[in-house]
Amino acid sequence: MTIRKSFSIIMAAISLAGITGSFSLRMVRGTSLGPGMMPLIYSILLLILAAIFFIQKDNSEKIDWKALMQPPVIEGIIFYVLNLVMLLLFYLFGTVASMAIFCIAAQLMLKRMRWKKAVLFSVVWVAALYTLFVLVLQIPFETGILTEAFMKAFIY
Amino acid sequence: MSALSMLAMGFKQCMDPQILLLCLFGAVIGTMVGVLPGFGPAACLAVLLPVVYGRDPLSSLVLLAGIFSGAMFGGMITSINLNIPGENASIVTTFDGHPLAKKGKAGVAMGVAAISSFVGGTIGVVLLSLLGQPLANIALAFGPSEYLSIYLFTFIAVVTIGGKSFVASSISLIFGLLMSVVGLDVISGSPRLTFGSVNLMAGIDFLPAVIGLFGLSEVVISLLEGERVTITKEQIKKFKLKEVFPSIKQLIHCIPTWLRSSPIGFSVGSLPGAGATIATFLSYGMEKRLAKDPETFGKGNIRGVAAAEATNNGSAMGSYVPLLALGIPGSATTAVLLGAFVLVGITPGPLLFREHPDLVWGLIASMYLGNVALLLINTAFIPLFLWLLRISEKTMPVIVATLCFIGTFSNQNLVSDILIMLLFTFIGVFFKKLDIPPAPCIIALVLGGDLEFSLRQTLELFQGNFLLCFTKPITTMFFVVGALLILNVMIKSIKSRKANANTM
Repeated sequence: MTIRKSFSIIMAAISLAGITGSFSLRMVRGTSLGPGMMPLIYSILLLILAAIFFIQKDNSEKIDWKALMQPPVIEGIIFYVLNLVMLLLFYLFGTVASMAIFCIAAQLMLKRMRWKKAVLFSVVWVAALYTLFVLVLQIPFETGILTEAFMKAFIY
Repeated sequence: MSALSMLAMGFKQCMDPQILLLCLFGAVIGTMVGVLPGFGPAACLAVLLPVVYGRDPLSSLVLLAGIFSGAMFGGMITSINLNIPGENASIVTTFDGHPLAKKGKAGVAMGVAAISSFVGGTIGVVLLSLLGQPLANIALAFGPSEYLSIYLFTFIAVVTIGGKSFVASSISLIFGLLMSVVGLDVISGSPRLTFGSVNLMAGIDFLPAVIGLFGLSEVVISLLEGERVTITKEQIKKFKLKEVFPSIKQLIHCIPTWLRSSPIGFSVGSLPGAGATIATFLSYGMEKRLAKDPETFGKGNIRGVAAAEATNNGSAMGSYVPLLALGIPGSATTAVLLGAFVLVGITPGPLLFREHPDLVWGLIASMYLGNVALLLINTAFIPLFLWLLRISEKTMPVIVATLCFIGTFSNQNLVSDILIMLLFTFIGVFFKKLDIPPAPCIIALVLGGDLEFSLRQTLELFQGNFLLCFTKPITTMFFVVGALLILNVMIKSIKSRKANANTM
C-alpha cells in the first residue's frame, strides 16, 4: 500500500459519507437548489477524483511499517500523538496545565532537551504565552472541566 | 477625491503612534515568521487573528498586513544563508542567493534582497493605490450571477494555474468545498453532514483548517522526514553588517530587473491561485532569457536574487487587489486576512472603498511605511534573526504546536475546533507528502458558502433557467475565460501524453 493509495481511500470514504449524508436532504427547493444538492455534487466529484488519483501512475513511497517505528518517522508520530494527548488534557485541565505537560513531554520524548532544561523551558514559555495572550491581549485561556469542578468544590 | 488625496488621508491616519508601533511590531513578527522555516505567513496570521478582538479595525489590519509583508521579506534570510526557503515564495531566491553566500557574499546578497523587496513592495503598493478603487467601482454593478462566475473562475484559476497536477489541486479544492457545506444551511436552516454532532452545527471554520494545513502539519512533516535547520556560530560570526550594503554599481545593475519583476509579481499575484511562487519562477526565467550572461544565473548572479525578491513582494501587494476590490481572496494568506476583515465587522468588496475609505487608505498607507520599516529591519538586524534561527532550532516544534493550540482555541473558545485543526493536520501531512497544494482547500472553505448562496440566488432570479446567465456579458466573459483555462490544461495533458508515448 502506498501513501497515494491510502490517501485516495481516505478521500473516497469522506465522499461516501458525504453522499450518505446528503441523501437525507431535499435536492430541489422551488426554482432553486435544495440543501442537499451541493453536498451531493461535491461528494460525487470527490469520489471521482479519488478514483482517478488511485488509478493514476503512482510514484509515491510505499508505507514501510517497520520504518514507522524507527527515527525519524517515529518522532513525527510521537509528536502527533502528543498533540492528541494535549487536546485531551486541554479539555480536562485547561490551557496552562496541558501546555506545561506537553512542553516537557515533547522536549524529553523528541530528545531535544534534558529534563531540567525542559522544565525550565516549559515554565518560561507557558508564562510568556500567559502574559501575551491573557494579560496583554486579554484573550482568556480554557480552564478545563476538571479544574473547574475542583475550583467549584474547594475554592468558590 | 483622487487616489493621491485619499492616500494623503491614509498617511494622516497612520501617523498615530499606536498605528506606527503596530506596523513596526507586525513587520518584526512577520520577518521572524519568514525566517523560521515551517511556519508560513498564513498560519502565523491565523494564530494571531484573535488579536483583532476588541481592537479598532485599522490597527488590527495594519498589524496583520505588517506580518504578511514581513514574512515575504524575511524568507530570504534562510534562503541565502542555508539554502532553505523560509516560505515557498523564497524558493527562487535560493538559486542565486545561496551560491553567492558560498562565495562569501551572503551580506551583499541579503542587502540586494532587502532593497529589491523594498522596491518590489513599493511598486506593488503604488499599483494597488492606482488600481484598487477603479476595479471596485466596476464591481459595484455586479449582481449574483456575476459573483457566481467570479467565484467559479477563481476556483478554476486556483486549480489550473497554481498547482502542479490538475487532479491533485482539484482534490484539494473539492475537499474544501465539501467541508464548507458542513453545518446549518443558511437558507433552509437544515443541518447538513453534521451526523448528529452539535459541534458541527456551526460549520467548519476556516481558521482551524489554515492552522492545521499550514502550521502544525509543516512541523509534523519536518519531524517525519528528520529535517533540522541548523546554523553554526561560525556562520553567524562570519557575517559582517557592513557587507550588507551593496555598491552603487550593483544597485544600478539591478534597476531594470526591479522595473520588470515588480509589475510581473503584482499582476500574477492579483490572479487568484497563481501566487508569489509562480510569479518568481516566471520573472526569474524572463531575467535569465534577457540577460547577456544567462550562464551565470544559478551560480550567483545578483540579478537573480533581485528578480526573485522584487517579484515576491510585488505579488504580495497584488494579492490585495481581488481581496479589497472584490472581497475574494486569491491565496490562503489573503483568505485569513478576509477573516480578519469580517472579525472587525467590515466586509471587503466593492463598497469598501466607498464606505470605509479611511480604513482602506490607512491600510494602504501603512504598507508604504511598513516597506520602509522592513528595509531597515532586514538590513540592520540580520544577525539577530540568524541567532533566533539558531536558538529556535530545538524548541521550534513545541513553540509552533502550542501557538497553534492557543490560536485555534481563541477564535471561538471551542475545544472542538482544536480537534478539527488536528484532523486537518493529518490531511495536511498527506497533502505535503503527495505534493497536493493546500491553498485551494482553504480558498474553497472560505468561498464555498458564498458560491452556493450566489448560485441559489441566481437560479431563483432566473426562475431556474441557468442558461439565462449567459445574457450577462461579465458573467459570460468569466465563464469563457474559465472554460479556456480548463481547455488549456486538457491540451497540455494530451500533448504530454503524446510526448511520453513517443519517447517510449
